[in-house]
Amino acid sequence: MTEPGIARSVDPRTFADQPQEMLWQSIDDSLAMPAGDVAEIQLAAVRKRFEEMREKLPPLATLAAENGIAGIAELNAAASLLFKHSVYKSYPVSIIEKARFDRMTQWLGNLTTQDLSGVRTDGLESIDDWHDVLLRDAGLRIIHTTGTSGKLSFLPRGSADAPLQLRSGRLSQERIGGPEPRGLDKVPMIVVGSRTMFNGYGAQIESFVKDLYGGDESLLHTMDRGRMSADVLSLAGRLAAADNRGELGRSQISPAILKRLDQYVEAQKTGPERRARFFDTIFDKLHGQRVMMAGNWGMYYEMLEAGRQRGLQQVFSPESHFVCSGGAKGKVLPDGYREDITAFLGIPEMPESYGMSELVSLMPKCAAGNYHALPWMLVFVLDPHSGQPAPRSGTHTGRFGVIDLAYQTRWGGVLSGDEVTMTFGKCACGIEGPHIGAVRRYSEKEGGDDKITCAGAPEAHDNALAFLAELD
Amino acid sequence: MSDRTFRVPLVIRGTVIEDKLVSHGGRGGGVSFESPEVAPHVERLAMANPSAMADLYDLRFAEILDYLDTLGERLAPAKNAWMEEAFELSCRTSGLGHEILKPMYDTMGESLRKGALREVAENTIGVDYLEGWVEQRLEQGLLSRKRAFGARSVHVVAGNAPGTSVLTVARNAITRGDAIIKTPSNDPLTAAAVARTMIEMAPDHPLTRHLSVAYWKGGDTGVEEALYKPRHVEKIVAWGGMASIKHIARYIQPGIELIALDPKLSSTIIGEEAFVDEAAMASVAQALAMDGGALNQEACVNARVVWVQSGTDAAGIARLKRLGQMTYDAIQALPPAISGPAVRLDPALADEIEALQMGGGDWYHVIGGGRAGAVIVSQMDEPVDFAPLLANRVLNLVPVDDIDTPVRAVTSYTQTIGIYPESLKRELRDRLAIHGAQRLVSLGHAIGMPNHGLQDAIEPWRRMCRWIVEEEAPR
Repeated sequence: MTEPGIARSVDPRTFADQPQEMLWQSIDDSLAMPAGDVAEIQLAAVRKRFEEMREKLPPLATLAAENGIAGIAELNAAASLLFKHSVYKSYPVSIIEKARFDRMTQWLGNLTTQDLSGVRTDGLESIDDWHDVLLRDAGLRIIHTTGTSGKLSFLPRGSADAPLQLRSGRLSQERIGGPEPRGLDKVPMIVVGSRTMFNGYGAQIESFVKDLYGGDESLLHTMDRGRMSADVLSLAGRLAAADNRGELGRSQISPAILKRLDQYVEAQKTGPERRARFFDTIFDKLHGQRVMMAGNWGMYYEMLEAGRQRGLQQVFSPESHFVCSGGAKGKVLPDGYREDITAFLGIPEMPESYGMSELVSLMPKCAAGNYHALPWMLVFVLDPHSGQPAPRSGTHTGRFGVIDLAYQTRWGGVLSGDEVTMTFGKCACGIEGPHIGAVRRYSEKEGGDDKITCAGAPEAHDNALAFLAELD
Repeated sequence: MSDRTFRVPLVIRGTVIEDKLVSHGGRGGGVSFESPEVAPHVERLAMANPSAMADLYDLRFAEILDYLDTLGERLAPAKNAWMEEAFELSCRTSGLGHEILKPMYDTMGESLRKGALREVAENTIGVDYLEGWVEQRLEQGLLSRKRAFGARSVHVVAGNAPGTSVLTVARNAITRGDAIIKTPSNDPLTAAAVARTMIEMAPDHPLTRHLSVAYWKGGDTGVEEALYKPRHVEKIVAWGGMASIKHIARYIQPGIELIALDPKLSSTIIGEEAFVDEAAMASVAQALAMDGGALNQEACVNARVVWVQSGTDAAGIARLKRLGQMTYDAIQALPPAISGPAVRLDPALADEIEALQMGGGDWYHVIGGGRAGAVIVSQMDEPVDFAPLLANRVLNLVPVDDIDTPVRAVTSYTQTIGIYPESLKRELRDRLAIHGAQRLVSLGHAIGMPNHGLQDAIEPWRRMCRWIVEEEAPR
C-alpha cells in the first residue's frame, strides 16, 4: 500500500479546473512551472472559483457588487475580492453567551459551500460542543484563530477540502531542491499542544493520525492528552466585552465558564514547567530518532533551554523534519539562536516558511532567504492606503493579499495584516515566480509613540489572560 | 505637505532655550521636530525651593484675570507667529483637520476672558479662598481658617486637544501654581507658543515666571528621575491614561499627588419620545449628529454608542434605521468648521465595519462607511463588540425596549451621556450617577466645557490647590 499523502502523478491539463491538484506535485515541480503557465492557470482557476462561489457565499457577492466586479478581466482585478480576516469574526460575542448556536450556524453557512442544514444545535452550551456537532453532522471542521482581543475567528473547512490537510502538512516538510520525505508513516510526531484542538495545528494532527498513521496514536506525542478548549480561548474577548457593557455585560457570562477560566489561568501559570517536563519526556523517549515537529523559534528555544539543563546536544536524528513558521512570537532571543537551536536539535538547518491559518499550505523559504508562492496561491501586494494592487512585475512593498485557489468549499481570498516586500520575477536561488523577502506586521498605531489623547477605552490589563496572546 | 522640521523651544520660567537640539519624531504619521535636550537643564526645571512661590502672592485675583485676558487677546495666529506655527504643526498630526483647527486656534484665547475665568474660579474654588483666609466656626467654638494655595506641578497634557494647553495655563495662573507643562509629540508647540507670548507680553511678571514648557520623551529617566521627587513636585496632572501614567506611575509616592484625567468614552440615551412625529425625529437626528460628528468624534465627550428606545421588534428596528439614515445625512451636512471626513482612518475600525458589511448582516445594518463616517444600526439590543474603537464619525445605534438596559450598561468609564428628552435626563440622573456616569447633558450639547469647573467626576481646579488650614482653639 502506498504511503498516504505522497506525491502522485498529475495531469497539468486539469490544473485550471481543479487547482487543488497542483498540491500533489513535489515542491520542486510546483516551483518549476513557468511563470506564464502559472498565470494562465491562475486566471482560469480564479474565474472558476469565483463563478462557483459568488452565489453561494453572500459576503463574496456583496464584495463583488461593492467593487463593481462582474467578471475577472485579469489577475490583478481579483485583488478587489479579498476578505478582511474580520469577516470570519463578524458575529456578536453575545450570541455565544446566549448559546445561540443555531444563529452561529446560520452565519457560518454564509461563509462555506458545505451544506449545514443537517446540523443539530439544540442543547449546545459551548463553542467546543458546536465544533463537534459541525463535524459530526456536516463533516465541517472549524479552524479557529485567536487575536489578542480574544475574539475567535472561525474558518470553515468543508469535507471536500479535508484530503488536502495531510498533503499540505507533508509539503511543509519538503525542502526546496530536496527529495520528498518518505516513510513518514513510521516517524513520531511531537506536538507542544493538546491532542484535540480546533485550530490549524489541531487539524494537522487529526489528519496525520487518521490518514498517515491509520489511526495509530502511538507515534503521536502531545503535551496534553485532552482538549484545548475554544471557550477558554475566547474568554479574554468575552470578559473585555462584558466589561465594556457594564453590569449588563457581566451578568451574561456563565458562571461555569468563569470557573473554567480560573482553572486555565492556573494551568497557564505552570505552562513553562509543564512544557519543560514534556520536553524531558521527549528527550528520553525519542533521543537519536527521526522525528517530526512544527513550531516557531520561540518554542524551539524553550526546548533548547530544557535540554541544555541536562547537557544535551544533537538530540535527534539529522533526518528529522522540523519546520518553523511564525517567527519568535514576540520573544526576544539571544544572538546566534538559529545556530544554537539547529545544533541542539541535531539538524543541518531549520526549514522556514511563511503563511497564515487561512492558507492551505505555507510558502517555503529558499536558499536565497526568500519565501516562494506556490502555484495555487494567487498573490498580491496592495497599497496600504488605496488598496490598489501593485503591477505583477518588479519588486513592491505593501500589504500582502492572497487567493488560495486550492479551497473548494470556502473563498480563499484574504487580505493579511502583514507588510511584505515581494518580487514578481526570478529569485537569486534560480526559481522564477513571486517571492517575498521581508515581512513585518502592520502596527495599528501610527508613528510617534509619545502621543497622548484623552478619548478612548480603558486598556485591558489582565495579566492573567496575557498568555492567550501566545497561543495559536 | 512638504517635509518640514519644526523647532520646539524649552521654556523655563521666562527663559527660552533653543540650543543643543535633538531630533524627535518623524515616523509614519508623526512630524519631525527638534528640541533641546532637557536632562542638562533639569536642575533649573525642578523648583527645589518653594519659597520662590512667594511672588505670586503679591498678585491680587483681579490682576491675574487682567493678565490672562490680555494674553488671550494675543493668541490669534493672525497676529502671533508662534501660535501660527503651532497651528501648522497640529494640522499635520491632528485628526481634526485644517477646517476645524483654524477656527479653534483663532478663538483659543476666548477661554481666557475675564468673565469666564471669574465664573469658574468662583464656582469651583471660591475667590475668597484664593485671596485670603476664610473663617468658619466649628463645633465647640473651634475656628478654622482655610486658604487655597498654589502647588508645584507637572502637567502632562493631551495632544489631540490643543486647548488643553491654554486651559492648563489658566488653571495654573488662577491657582497661583508653578507649572511645568510636559508636551506630547503630537502637539509640542501650542503650550510653548503660549509661554513665549507671555514672555513677550510681560517678561518679569510672576505668572510668566511660574510657567515652564518642555518636551521630553515619556519614560526618559534622565529627566523624570530627577524631576519627579516630592521635594520638587507636589502634583502631577496627567491627561491620557495609561500612556502617560505608565511612565509616571513608579514615581507616585507619598508627597506627590496624581490627578488623572484619563481617557473616557461617552454614551447617549434617547427615549421613545423621539418617534412621536417627524419633527421630533428630525430634531433628534440633528442633535445626535452634532454630538457624534463635532470635532470629528475625536473628543471623549463625543457620542459613540447611542441607546434608543425604539423597540426591538421589526417595526422598532425599521424606525431606528430611519433615524439612523437621518442622522447619517445630518452628519454629512455639518459645517466644515465643526466636522469633516476622517483625516486618518483607523484601519482596525475600518476592517471591523467592512466585516459587518460582508458577513454581519443578520445582526447589523451599516449606513455609509469609509472616510465619511457611518451609522451602524444594531438589530438587537447589543452594541457592536468593537464599540470601544468607534471613531472617525461612526455611531452605533442600539434599539431597546426598556430604558433600564442602557442604564445598566453605564460604567465608570462613561463620562458624558447625552439624553433626550429633558424629562428622561431628570428621571435617570441619579441612577446614571450611581452606575458611574460623570456628566449628563441635553442631547446636542455634549461638546463644550462650561464654567461649572467639574471634569471626570472631580473638580480639577480645586484639586490643583493646596488647601491649608489655620486653626484657632477656643479660649
